[in-house]
Amino acid sequence: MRILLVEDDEVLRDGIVAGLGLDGFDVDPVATLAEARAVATGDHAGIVLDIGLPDGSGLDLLAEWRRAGSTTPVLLLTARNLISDRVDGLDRGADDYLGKPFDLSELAARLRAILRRASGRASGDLTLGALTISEARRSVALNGAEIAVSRREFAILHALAEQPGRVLSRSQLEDRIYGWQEEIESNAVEVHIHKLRAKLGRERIETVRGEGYRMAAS
Amino acid sequence: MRSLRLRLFALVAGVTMLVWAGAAAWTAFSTRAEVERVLDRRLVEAARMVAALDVGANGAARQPEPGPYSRQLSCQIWSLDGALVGQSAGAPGRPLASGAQGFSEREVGGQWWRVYTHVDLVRGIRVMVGDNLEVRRNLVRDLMLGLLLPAAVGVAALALLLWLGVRGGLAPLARITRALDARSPGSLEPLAVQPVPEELAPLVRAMDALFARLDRARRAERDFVANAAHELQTPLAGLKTQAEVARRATDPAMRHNALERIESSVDRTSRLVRQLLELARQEGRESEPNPARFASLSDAVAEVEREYGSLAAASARPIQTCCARHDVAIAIDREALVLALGNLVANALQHGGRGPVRIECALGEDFVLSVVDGGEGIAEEDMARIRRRFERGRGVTSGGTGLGLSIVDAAITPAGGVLEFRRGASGFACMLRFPLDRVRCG
Repeated sequence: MRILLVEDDEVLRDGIVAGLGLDGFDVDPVATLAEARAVATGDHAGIVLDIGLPDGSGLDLLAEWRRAGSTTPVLLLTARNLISDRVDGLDRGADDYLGKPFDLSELAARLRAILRRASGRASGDLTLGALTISEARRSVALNGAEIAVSRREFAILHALAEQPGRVLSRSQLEDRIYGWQEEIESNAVEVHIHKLRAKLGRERIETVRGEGYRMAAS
Repeated sequence: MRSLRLRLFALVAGVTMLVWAGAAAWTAFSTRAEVERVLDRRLVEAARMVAALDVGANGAARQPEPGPYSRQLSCQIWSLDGALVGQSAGAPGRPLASGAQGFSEREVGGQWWRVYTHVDLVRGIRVMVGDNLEVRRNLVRDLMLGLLLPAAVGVAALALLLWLGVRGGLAPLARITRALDARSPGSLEPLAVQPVPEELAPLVRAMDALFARLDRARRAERDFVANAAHELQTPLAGLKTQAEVARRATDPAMRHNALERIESSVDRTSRLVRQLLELARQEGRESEPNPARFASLSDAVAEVEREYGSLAAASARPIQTCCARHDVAIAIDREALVLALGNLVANALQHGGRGPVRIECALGEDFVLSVVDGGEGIAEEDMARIRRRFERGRGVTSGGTGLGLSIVDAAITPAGGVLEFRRGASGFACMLRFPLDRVRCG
């Protein structure tokens, strides 16, 4: 899942990129409000936004986005751990809030939670018939038996399983699994789908010719 | 005495009682004397009156009916040869006095008498009129008591009124005490007591001023601690995150990178802490009296050059000192001067574009010490906030702690110095301006 990170401290930014990467997120980092504005937010599943930035407050940017109609889930980070800040942030349209310093695993869990809620689910596990997908452990189980999948295979499966029956195009799937800096191999999505079918059974993922792929509504 | 009210009451009551007692004693004494004089006068009158009656020395002894005063007054008429001619009822049979003309006192029949003896040689009689001394003393005592009782009641009433008066007079003090008592220990609000009598107004004003000063100091301290804590949160968050990455990373390159980041972050955080300590020390100086010592300018410049020489050499930007006034000394703590100048030089080296960093000085209306670099300087819209703590220039994302100029400000302010900025043809100048009375030449 692609996440936009807006944080001015270089060390922290780098750490979050690496840490969320370990948790299966693809993070696009920027350091200032100006850079964040320049980035199209529609591509990202969620945003991690620092409040104190060198060219202004993250809260203002958040309010801007919300005024423009963006519904992308936003998690605020701040060093000023005041109740008034938290209330202000949430009232301006943030979905969650984390004070510095924080635990990377908590950041990842909260991100998963707000992304899940944004897609209208309450549980951290996706169940489609005999197939169970656990977000927290990034594991897939078929009939109770765990199946090993790679990070990108998991991302594609998760994207498709979120809304069974809905068709996702190849480029939509590429957006979900690659960050900006990464080179996209031309047939990567096909390769991952092929491997997933081999592990879960052909009938689980259907090809809609000319449009993309969808999860069989079991 | 611990209570002001009690002390005042005791003082006023004591003085009043003393005067009262003196007056009462005087009254008693003079009244007694007056009563004695009047009674004696009466004895004389009575003796003469009796003598003027038609009584002969050889007349029959007459025994008049006892009158209402017979218990007090006794009268005897003796012939010159010692025979009792007449006496009042109840008068003792023995002579009341020895017989000489005038006053005398004698005990007759167990009672003391004061007697006036009138000798009438023409008629050949001796008239003795005596006053029973006990009765006379009773009279005086009753008179005294009659005077003293109202006096005693008056004293009690006076004491009560004095007490009420003292309490009323000290009521404003009691109000202030109550207001102070009612405050919570940490409260630094002004004393809301009205009205304040003029004697106490300076006290209340001084206390309110002290409260206000303490409040400002405490607020500044709290803000400082809060800001410092917030400033430390971000580097700490970076450290924690990188440590977690290092722990979880399976890729050696990733772990190596994380460890490197941790190292540089620790350096940065410790610089921040060092600057916080410097700032706290400089701000603590503010309350100290002005230093009597002078710091030599050339000395301070030399130390700054030494301190930042290696940093300047590393960035290939020499520090040039273009200050002809080697003999100048400034009334400022030497360490503070080096700190202020050093921070400006470090700023110039870090953010000041390319080219040399120049230290210049000029002696005019004020003494101005400038650090000039060839960089962009501080943006116009940042000028107002850049001196505040933790405020960095716009767009500066690395390196600075946002404390440097706050430290400069805090270091020179106690010595009357002012930090100013100027953009000129030769570059951007940060200037330390000192008034001439703080500067000594030669």
